Amino acid sequence: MALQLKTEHASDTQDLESHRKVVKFVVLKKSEPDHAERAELASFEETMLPHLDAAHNLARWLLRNEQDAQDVVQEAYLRAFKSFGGFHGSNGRAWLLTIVRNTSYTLLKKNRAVDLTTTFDEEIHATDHDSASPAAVLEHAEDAELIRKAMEELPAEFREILALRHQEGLSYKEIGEIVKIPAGTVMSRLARARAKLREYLAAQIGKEK
Amino acid sequence: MNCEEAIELMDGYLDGELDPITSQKIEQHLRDCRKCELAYEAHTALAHAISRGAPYHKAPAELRQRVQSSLRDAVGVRASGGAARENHALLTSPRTTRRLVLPEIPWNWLALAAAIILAAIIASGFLPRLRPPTSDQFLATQLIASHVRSLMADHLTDVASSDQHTVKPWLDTKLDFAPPVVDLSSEGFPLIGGRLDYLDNRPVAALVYGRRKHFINLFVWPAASDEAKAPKTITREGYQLLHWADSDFNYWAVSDISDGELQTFKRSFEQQVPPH
Repeated sequence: MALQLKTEHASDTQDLESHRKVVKFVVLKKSEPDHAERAELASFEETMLPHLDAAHNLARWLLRNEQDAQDVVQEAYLRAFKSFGGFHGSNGRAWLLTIVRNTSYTLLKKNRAVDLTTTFDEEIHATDHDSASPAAVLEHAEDAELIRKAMEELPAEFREILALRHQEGLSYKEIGEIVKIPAGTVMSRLARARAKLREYLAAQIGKEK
Repeated sequence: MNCEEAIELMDGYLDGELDPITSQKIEQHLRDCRKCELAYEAHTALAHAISRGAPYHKAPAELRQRVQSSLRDAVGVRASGGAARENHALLTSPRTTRRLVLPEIPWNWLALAAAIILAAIIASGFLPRLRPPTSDQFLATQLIASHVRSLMADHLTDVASSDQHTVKPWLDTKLDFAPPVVDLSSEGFPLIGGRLDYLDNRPVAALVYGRRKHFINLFVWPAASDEAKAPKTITREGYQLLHWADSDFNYWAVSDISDGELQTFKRSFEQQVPPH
């Protein structure tokens, strides 16, 4: 009885082995259309990899954390590649940045719902254009560290709009497409972001003195 | 053009985003109005300072490699489950493929194995009991994480107040529902404040209560069905979770106090909540 079982077992192993070879054969056949995939990847990389710095910069400002920013950029590139077939426009950077932004907000919402609530409070604090002394701000305008600190304190919607305008040099129309707001709103939001930044700068300068 | 309009359009003018006619009007105004001209100079200086001063976070070299290799993996998976790797394995010593025996078992064998396991589960009558707790367990993980994060990140409350008439209106404006908020100081659970949180794919209210040196996070969101449910207790990683629901809301209380104390908290809360 025991012997019989053993023989059966041995013949099973034989089957499995031969079956496995068949699978490999099919796989080899399949590697033909793979060329199309590789061509698509090459085309995607050629179009989108030049914008890696822009993608990373936006994610880094939004998430304020290097590890999260890198995770988001990787995820965004995968998402972008999956929907690359639907991209026919000429502005690859704006298209990619839209995906980076969406992915960043997904993470922000998931991990830190609280982080986003700060943006609501902006409506309460009416911005006063003349609150900070322009001379004092001008004096410290060269202090990059001061500007970084002040900008990181801003709400997410201000951080992203300042990065898109001042670092990527995007037009109001492009920013509006990425952030999904009309161009007129881009102007007013940018104005509020700058006013708020100046306020924070003035506060920082005041602290130092 | 008056000063108010000029200030309003100044950022657009500064960024060169206005139409030529409006731009000209602003230019004219700046020539005539010293105050606005000074404001414009300050605006320009600030804009330049941001452009020059804000650090540009360039992608590190390893990120490029990471992105590229994850894209390659995605292509491999989509094409044939890693055809390139298998071809490679065929060319090299067959011994290296032995570690891959499990993934290479044909799918119908795996399906058979899965069918047997499934049959065993159904036969044991385990499945009906297993399913509802799994979603609760998942939620419990989220709840504990949220509770721990609120203590760790020093962000216990968005609105810190022991006055329910401050906390409630604040939450009402942030949410699409109006959670009940009551102060339980007289029962030994002082209200500390409220916070917005995100759980179970929706924004929820988190009410924060104190108990001696401990904190209780009470998460509240609208109930899916309008029937009251029997309370449920979960103990995980040293945390107590207590769940109940009334006709309007789902409640999850999370804390490191004892189950008995959490039950007391629930009773006090229910007594104080005005009937709907």
